[in-house]
Amino acid sequence: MTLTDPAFIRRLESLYLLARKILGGSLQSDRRSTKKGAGITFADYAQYSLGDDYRSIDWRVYAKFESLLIKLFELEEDATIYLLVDGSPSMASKHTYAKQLAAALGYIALNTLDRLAVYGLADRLQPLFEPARGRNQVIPFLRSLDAAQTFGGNTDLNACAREFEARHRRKGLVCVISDFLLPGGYEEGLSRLQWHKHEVFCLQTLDDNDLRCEWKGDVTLECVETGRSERVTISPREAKLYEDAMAEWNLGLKQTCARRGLGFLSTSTNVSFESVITDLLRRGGLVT
Amino acid sequence: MTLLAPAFLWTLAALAPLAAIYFLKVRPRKKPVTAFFLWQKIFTEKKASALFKRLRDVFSLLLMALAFAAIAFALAEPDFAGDERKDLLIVVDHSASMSAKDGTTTRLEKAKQRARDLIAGMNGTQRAAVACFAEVTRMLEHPTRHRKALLEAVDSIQPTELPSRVEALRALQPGDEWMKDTRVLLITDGCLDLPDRLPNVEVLRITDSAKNIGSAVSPAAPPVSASSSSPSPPSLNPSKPTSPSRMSIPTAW
Repeated sequence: MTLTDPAFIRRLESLYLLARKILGGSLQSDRRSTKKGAGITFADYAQYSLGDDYRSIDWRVYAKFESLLIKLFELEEDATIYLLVDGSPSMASKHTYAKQLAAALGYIALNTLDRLAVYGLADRLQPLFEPARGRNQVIPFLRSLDAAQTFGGNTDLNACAREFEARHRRKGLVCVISDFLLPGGYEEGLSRLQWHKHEVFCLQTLDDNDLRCEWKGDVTLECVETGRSERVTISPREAKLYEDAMAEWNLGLKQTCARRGLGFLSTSTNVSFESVITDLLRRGGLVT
Repeated sequence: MTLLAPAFLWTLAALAPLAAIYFLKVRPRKKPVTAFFLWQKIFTEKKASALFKRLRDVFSLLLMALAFAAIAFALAEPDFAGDERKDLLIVVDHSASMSAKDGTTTRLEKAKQRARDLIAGMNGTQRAAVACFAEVTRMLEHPTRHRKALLEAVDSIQPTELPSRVEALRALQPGDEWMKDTRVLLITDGCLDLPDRLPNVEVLRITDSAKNIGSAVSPAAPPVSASSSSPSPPSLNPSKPTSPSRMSIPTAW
């Protein structure tokens, strides 16, 4: 089933409706922000300083206290959603799943009139969908996502984050969809994204082959990304060690996200993408 | 130890292509993995045993070569037992005297039974041939390992009324390559015309010759009509001297 399949779009639509229900309101330009700026809802007072718009000076306060204060309003702005979909060869078995998740998130974002940009992650950043907004962008978005293939070599989140930063100064919600099995580590890349004031959400997609080692005996392990290989003998002991190492790695990712205040959700290809998105929405994970 | 079929040792030459195939084939299955770095972490701890790993690769080849060599060696039919396991030529005497009854069975039957026992007792590498002998020696089964054929050959031996003629056994002697390493077993009742002129054969007597002679001279036994039933050896072979044992035959009837 392609991502532009009517049946698939209907599933996305129902997810969007659910999102509206959960998040409340029409969502159109209704996204709350912690940022202060021009809007309708009063947020706070601030000391007037040179260069501030004197129209926002609260003269009544001035009359009473003879100090110049300006009124601040909640900034009502459209958020920018950046989807970074891991497209490295290690995602080959999970790429479709990752694309489905990205499609659901992107669909909701475009329907709530947020700006959306989609990138493929590998050893470099590959633009999949240039920043755009509006419901009429849904089909082009799904098409470009559908056409995305795995590419490049080892995922280098750090290099990608640097490149991403060079492209986008505008802060937004960055959702990284990856297996996070990055030999170079993920901390630096995540911290770089966070350092640029992006809201970062990590959506880890794994499949059973990643989590478990079912094959035993003499095998040549071959890295799908670098092509390096090693002849080893895998006994139940090594299989157990691998599963433990994998569990530890995933726990490390989870703890890093918790420590840095990043959103995190781990899912497996066995779970339908709809239930993942539903879970995500219920937790309010992607609401800025 | 001798090899009965040393030609099969040439199969050892196949070890060379076997080793070549092994090195081509031994490559284990390829398994693409996504978390290669995790595997590396696991196996760096085991680097100390790299020597073992290298040995293990060769070890399996050695094991295979050894098994192959063992098969080749087995095909070459090593004979560890030496003389004990020589090929056999079983010659069953079916001359007239063998038709005499000892108890309920004839001597020929006993001789045949003895021959069957010998065949049953052959080891896998031994070959045997079966011949019958009276006035002439007749080959019934050529050297073979095939027990069934040998047993059939033994079964096919019929009593005759011919005299035994030791001279006929000489026909078996040298000249034949196979005969050099062969034990010739003559199963007989010992009633031969010239027992002292027997060629190099091992005589397996089915009856005690003393007893035989005893019975031959036993006054209790009538000098039977058998003399008429048993062909008179001199008449058949007038040129030969009549064996004294020959004369004992009728008494058993």
